[in-house]
Amino acid sequence: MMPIADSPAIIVCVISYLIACFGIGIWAMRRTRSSADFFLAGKSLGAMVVVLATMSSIMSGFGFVGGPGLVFESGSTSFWITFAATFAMPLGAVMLGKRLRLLAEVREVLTLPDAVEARYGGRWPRATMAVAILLGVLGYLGTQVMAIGVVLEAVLGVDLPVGLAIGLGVLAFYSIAGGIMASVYTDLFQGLLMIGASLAVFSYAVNAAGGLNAIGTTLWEMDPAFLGPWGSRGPLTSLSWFLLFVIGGVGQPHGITKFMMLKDIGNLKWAGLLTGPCYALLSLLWVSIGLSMRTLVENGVHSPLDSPDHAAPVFLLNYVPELLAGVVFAGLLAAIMSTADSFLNLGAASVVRDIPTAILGRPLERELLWSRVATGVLLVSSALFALYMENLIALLGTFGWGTFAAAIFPSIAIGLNWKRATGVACVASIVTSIALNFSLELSARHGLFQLPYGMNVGAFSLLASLIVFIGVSWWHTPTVQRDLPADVKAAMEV
Amino acid sequence: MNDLRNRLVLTLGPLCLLLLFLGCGGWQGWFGVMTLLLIFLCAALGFVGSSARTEVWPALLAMLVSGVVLMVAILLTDRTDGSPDLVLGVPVATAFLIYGIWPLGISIGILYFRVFDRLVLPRRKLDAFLSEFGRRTSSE
Repeated sequence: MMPIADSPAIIVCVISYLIACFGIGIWAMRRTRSSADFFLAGKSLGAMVVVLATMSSIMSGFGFVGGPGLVFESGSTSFWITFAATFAMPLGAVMLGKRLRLLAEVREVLTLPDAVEARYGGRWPRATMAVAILLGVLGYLGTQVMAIGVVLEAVLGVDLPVGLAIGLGVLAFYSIAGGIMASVYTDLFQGLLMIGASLAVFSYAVNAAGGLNAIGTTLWEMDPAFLGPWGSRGPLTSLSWFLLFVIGGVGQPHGITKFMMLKDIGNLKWAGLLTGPCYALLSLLWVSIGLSMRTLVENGVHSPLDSPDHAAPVFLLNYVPELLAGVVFAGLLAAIMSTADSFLNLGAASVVRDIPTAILGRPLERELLWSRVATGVLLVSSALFALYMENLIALLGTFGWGTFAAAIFPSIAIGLNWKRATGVACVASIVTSIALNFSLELSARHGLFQLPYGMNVGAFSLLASLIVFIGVSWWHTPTVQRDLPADVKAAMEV
Repeated sequence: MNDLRNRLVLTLGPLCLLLLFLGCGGWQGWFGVMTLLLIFLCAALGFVGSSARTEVWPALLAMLVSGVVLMVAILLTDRTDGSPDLVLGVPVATAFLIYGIWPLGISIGILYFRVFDRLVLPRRKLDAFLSEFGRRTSSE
């Protein structure tokens, strides 16, 4: 359990934040009139909204709690994850921004499986993509939902189910009522909160441990490898994380679907330019708290932590002013909820639009109503999963990023830039990604088989899935060659 | 243009195989260098449709070379003995990571921003696309 934050300032900040989310939900509800509004915000967003919404949905609770914990535990190894975002975000704009946005301009493309069907035709590519997204969403959502409960349990001093009920009540209200419109505008607010919190905490973290040189000297004396370029987990783990989080970052649906929501296509350039640097500002919190807290523990200033994941909350409760700690706790909740709302929207799209279209040939009737119902059902079921099937959630949570990366990057990022890619290759690579991610993750958990030299499972699956996608596209010649529709072809050529 | 895309993608396939081999074989230095190559080949693929090769590709090549030099510098300066030579609070090899590799990714975004209006999506190309296929004008 997280340390208890029984300070009035922290409680006021967190409750104010929840009320603000509630207010944005009411505002967005009035602007959500169709499924296009619910899933794509009516393609009406400005550049800064997209930049901050993308950044805050990618920076999940893992970044604000797990990230500092990972730095505390294994030093620089964790840098390779957070630094990867400065590559992944512009790379996503370069490879996909224009293609996805143009496709959304000429077709009824509201989701990634819509884009896959426009690109490859047939139902199987859409169906497999929808299933891959749904599996990833369930894992991610479960971990985020659990994190909301744990944070509110610690801040408000209530039982976990009560914390879950409060947090999910607010999340349910604004996600069901306002769909992605509420999600992106709460993300905008949440993103600003997170950047402010990160910058403020960075200076406190460095000062609390006696400055940069004191941190470096202490950690070097503790273990020279800890602050070396690879940290204590070694080079191949670091580098395979870097590969997974750069290349795989381009395949994260909660990030790249935001390109389709831009009102002005010309604003893509701002998304490419600013999302990476904004995320880099958030990384300051991730890196500085972990290093500072480890230094404080090594110097005997603070007693050893029960768990590396306590690095962030313990630091906030002991080494920053109460009001700032309150803002950061609100920022932490913002990081978790901004990711959860994006996944709720993606999951609802899979259930209401993508899977029915693959089976029936059309989305469900009264799509907006069913999208709201599906959002609620997903939220409740993920809360039940989180409470009663913790092991499954932990597995799916680990598996989430890698599955998105390996399933989506080849089919979307390569497929929208390469006309020779085929639907069979798309299906084959998605199936490969799911099978490899699950089987390798399970094998490693049960001690049956582990990839050598610390090679990451997600990175391995991503590379294998890319090889399958390119190989099958190259060797498989369909009996009836499908000519690309003129509009899709044009969107790939402009 | 399609030939170029074919060539780029068909380079990615063997490169991924090589990365699997290097990763599972423990060749970390080469794995790092080839990962950077994979990233910049992907960026090149994204730029192909719109790039004036004389402008975008040299910039990407310069970034790749900078990345490789930084990666080699990290490998050469990484050591765990003696007293620490700290640069802004971190050992020299880690300084190459934090102050070199980290900002390098942003340069892809800067390049994209610089060439967007002229090469990635010029107004005339967008207008032509929208007038032929568009269901509504997006830029108003």
